[in-house]
Amino acid sequence: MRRVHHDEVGLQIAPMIDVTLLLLFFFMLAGKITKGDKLLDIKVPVAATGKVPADEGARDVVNIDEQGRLFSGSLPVTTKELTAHLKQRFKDYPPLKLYIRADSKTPGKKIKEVMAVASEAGAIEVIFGVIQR
Amino acid sequence: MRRTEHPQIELQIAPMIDVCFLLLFFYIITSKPVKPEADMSMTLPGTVAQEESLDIPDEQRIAIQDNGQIVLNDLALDRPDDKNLPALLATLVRFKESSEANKSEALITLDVSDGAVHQRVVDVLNACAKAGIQGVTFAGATGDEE
Repeated sequence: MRRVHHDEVGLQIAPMIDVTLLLLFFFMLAGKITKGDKLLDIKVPVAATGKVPADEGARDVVNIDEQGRLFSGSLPVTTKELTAHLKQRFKDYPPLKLYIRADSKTPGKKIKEVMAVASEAGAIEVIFGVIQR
Repeated sequence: MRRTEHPQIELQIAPMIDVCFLLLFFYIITSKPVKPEADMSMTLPGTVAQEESLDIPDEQRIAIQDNGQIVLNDLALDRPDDKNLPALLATLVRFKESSEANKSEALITLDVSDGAVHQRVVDVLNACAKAGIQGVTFAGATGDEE
């Protein structure tokens, strides 16, 4: 008995699996990448006048968590180490721009301390990270 | 002609798709959209050799106390929990206008208390930005505690 072939449009399983797997890998990788940021768990303050920069340019990132611990990028540092690092950065790549990502509950004492460090290292511009709302 | 049927194990597509979809929904739901962070910049005072005579700018001092109370030149403004700071903003707008009329630069010095939270500092910087004041400095930022 011969099979009869109809010209019908069936559900194409193969491309659907391809797309599903691609999406799956995308979300798996995206989740892994954002995990690095979550380690610091910093909730930056809210400000209506904040501007999302078109070009972030060369800037050194200093993270300060709720307890006031300092991180140069994601590396925990002491105030002395941060000063030495920023001075070296200023020497190698002037002018120094400092991007401070401080938690909204970080005590003012630590902010002043980092501002003093920035000034000592020769930073010209200090940028506070905020969420625009 | 009859087909010979072999007992063979085939790849089961349907359960694989089920698992893939389950994983996909799990990752879609658990992934958070990344919010772009915005900038609030301030320029630190530097040491530059001055050759010409200098116009002394108008300067106001804003203190931020531990409880979030804003004090402008010994005058308490707004409630400590008010994020919009309307009274401070109105005063800063007047200050900016008078500085412009005097053709001098409006300067704000922030005196942040050790226990004040960073959000309060940003609230004040936000009010300064709304008033159009760009010259904002931190007292003690250069190590000279006043």
